[in-house]
Amino acid sequence: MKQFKYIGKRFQREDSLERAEGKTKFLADCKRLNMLYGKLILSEHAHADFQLDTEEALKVPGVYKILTYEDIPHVAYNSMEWFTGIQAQRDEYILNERARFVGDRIGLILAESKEACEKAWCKVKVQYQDLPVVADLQTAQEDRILVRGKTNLAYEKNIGYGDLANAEAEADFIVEDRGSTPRTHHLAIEPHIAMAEVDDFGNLVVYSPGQVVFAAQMQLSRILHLSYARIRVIKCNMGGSFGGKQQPLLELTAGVAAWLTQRPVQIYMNRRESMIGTFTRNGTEARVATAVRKDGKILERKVDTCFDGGAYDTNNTSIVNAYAKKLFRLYRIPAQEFHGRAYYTDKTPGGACRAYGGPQNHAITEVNIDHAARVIGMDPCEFRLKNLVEPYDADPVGGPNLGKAAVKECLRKGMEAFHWKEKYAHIREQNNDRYAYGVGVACADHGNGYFGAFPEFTNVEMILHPDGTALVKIAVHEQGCGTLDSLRLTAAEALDLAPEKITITEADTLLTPYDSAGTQASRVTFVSSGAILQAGNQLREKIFQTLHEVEKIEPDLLYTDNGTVKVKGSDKTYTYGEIATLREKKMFDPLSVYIHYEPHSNPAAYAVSFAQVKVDKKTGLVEVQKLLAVHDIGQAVNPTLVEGQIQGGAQFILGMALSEELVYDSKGNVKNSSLSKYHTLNVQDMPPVDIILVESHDESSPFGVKSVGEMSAVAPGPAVVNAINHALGTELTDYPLTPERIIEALEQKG
Amino acid sequence: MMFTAPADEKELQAALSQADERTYLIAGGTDLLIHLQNRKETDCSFIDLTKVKELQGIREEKDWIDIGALVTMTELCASPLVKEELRALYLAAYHLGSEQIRNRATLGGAIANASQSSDCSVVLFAYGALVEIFSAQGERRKVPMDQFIKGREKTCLDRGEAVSRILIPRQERSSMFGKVGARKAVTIAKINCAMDFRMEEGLIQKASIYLGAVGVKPVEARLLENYFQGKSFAEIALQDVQELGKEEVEKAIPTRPSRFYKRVAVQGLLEDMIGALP
Repeated sequence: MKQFKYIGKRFQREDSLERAEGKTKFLADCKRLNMLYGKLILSEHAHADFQLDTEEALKVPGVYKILTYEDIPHVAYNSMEWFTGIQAQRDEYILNERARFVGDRIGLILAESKEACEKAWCKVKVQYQDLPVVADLQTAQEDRILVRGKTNLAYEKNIGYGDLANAEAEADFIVEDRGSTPRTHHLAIEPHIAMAEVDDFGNLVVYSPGQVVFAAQMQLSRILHLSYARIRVIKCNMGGSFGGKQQPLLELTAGVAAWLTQRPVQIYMNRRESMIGTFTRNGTEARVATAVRKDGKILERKVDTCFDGGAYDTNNTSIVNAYAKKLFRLYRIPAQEFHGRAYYTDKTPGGACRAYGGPQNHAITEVNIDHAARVIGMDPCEFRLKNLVEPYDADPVGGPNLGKAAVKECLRKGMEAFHWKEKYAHIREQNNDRYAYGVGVACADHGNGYFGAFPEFTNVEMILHPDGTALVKIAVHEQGCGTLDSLRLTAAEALDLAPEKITITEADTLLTPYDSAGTQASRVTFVSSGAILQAGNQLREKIFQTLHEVEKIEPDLLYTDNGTVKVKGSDKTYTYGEIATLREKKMFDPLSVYIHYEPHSNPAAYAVSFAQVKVDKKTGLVEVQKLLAVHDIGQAVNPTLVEGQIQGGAQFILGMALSEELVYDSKGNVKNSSLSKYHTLNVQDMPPVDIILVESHDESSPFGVKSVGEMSAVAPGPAVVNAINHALGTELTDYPLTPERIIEALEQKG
Repeated sequence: MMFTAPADEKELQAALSQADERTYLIAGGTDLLIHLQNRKETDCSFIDLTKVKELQGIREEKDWIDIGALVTMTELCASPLVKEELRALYLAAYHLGSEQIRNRATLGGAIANASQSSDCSVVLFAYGALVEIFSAQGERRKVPMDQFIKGREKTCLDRGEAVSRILIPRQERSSMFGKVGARKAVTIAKINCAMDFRMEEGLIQKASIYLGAVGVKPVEARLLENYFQGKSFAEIALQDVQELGKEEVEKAIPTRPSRFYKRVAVQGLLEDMIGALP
């Protein structure tokens, strides 16, 4: 293994102090001269025609205008599209003529102050003429009531491989589970917001705390019939996203409003608006049937899943495909079949959400794996070990090779550290009338970018300045997970330069080189590190070449040492800054490179979680007593940040396992659109997360790295559910396992 | 819109006499602001009570512990008198909301809001507390809790009246509070319970027990009260108590879908409370 100088060492985030002190400016802290504030009027009915009575609202001092569907360019778009090569079903509008979910955009109040916006919002009267509502997947499938068009079926996919009939014939058992996962919201600390203005030259400038500046530029160009060159989208500071800001939304509203009014506009949302009026994780209902042999070999698996797509098409194709992809890269199963269908419902549109389909998929399949182990009387870890993939296995449906898959190593190391065997055999001996104890395990896989599915490349410009500092122009979006800090370390490694001398830019359509897809799909560290490594290598060559040409030193004698170049057998030292000056003076060329980079692999990342729970059989409350997360991380760039991701990912997905769920009534009303009723795990409920990093060093990956941010938000969920089922002897598969569901299961069990 | 912040009862009297149907009394604001947002109310007036000196502080009197309407949850928890003598109130205040909420939320506000799951209300019901109401005319009347709270978010307060103090009768007591919410902390009760026992020579002379969040206002748990009466703590059989608790819930909410959960949860709740008794 190569020894790194910076990578793998612990560094504090550059901005952590200013964030902790509350000095960091977010968009809500920003103002512009003559700026208008904008507040959307969101429908309170799930499916309705409506009339807005704005007479009283317009009388509120400071109200500038109230825009409706009629005032806005009538151009349909699909917010999931991130480049022009994706032509999805386009059915979203900036403002809508008919409301299709509680939270749909039916008007926009523009006012001189937030206070005036809020006051006007209270005074807008909306008259609704209700239309029939599709509030659940069951109703959607019946096609009796249509959200639009001729059917509610929005997208369907069948994919599989192998000889199903043969596998079934050989099987001793077919173990079937039905389960469901809820709609959840991302709950970034910063609710959705965006700002736009027209600059002195008549260009539209949009500030986006999002993940896809180039996509926002593309969408605005289509909607406003304005050339790309006249639209500049700048990534600004963001208070979290988790996929919730992966589809442009208020960027488009603000952009259009600023263009129409020719004034700066900031559109903001409060918590409730962000929860109902943006995007949510797609809810799913799945049936999983696994054919197993007595000796523990999985022979075949059939997965049939319905997805709650919401009122607009948005990510219907993406969620089904992303979900499917992850079914084929975890276990060696000779034959598999997946059938997926996404349906329109009169609910908040589905959208990207941390680990895209992985949490829903593994939520049921990993519980089913435990179920199968029980049926054949095998330890669930041993059963998994018998079936997990091996390094360099092929993807059975033609996806990229799995690479140096270290999931078995993760499982083995975890079993040992967790004392799995002992706990699994004995923990229930502690059970009493009140409490039950159990342990559970779950595995999961995730990707590293879009290679094998979509255009996957990024461009980077790397400049060494005469003062010895480096600027790396690259279009990344810091989401709060420390992307910029990680990339700074990779640049430090590539250039042999201290990290504090390196600046990594955030995405800006005018200033940073084009990037194929934005900060999504767990692609950033994997792809951008590769680009930075390649650029760094080229820049180092240029450094040597400069000294060779100007100072006539043989390149073989040169080596770098922390921002300087030294000459073997001589005490001569050149700083990078001096070399930049030499190059400009003698060679008429700046010391910089601009490169195009494409990864040629997409290895799978893996994680295995172990959980220990204490279940209160009277109140149904679950205490997660221990959580161990083992990650095939490839190579940790900055272990401190990696651990932060894993802890945060666990909190994120334990919510889906235990308490988080957007609850809808039959009329499509959201019953818990506030944080007093929508429960995340807070600090008292959150266990400490033990972490083991397995550094497998995938050879196809720059520095050996693999993804972690999304990967971390999958396995803890089913591990906890398996632990609860172990404790109680239940077969719970409907997420979240709320106290009510647990008590109900216990009552039924008797 | 009008905003007044009277400094004493005299100024409060003047402010109350100006109150119309769109005038709100505000103390901590932790409930009111949410209500106003939900109701989309904009053109309303406020009387800020937080400066009225007569509404503050905890007073120890011979027969009463007299708590000002403005006393916050944090102040209740910090009071040695409350902690030692009014254990149930201390526990309710300690577990209410979050640190930030507890710093602002007041006892007067908690009962005036009359939420069906209010932790403070259920405790004050059990204590047989009196609510002192101050009027625009400068009059004071004292109303027992069960008459003060008339229903879900309904009290007997008329326009031009404010809760000024809460009076808790003193006795040789042992009291307890517990709740079950959706999680360990920062949670609204799905079911809560307060017990107040008048003790004499180690025996329960009188038991006053109320369950909350199983009706529009706290419900007196008579079956449980009868069971405890005359017993010492050592004589209490958990299973009997749990069985009666279950019956109480089924009696209180015979048709609500939440009864299936609450009739089990009450057993856990009672077990924890009994276990915490001295």
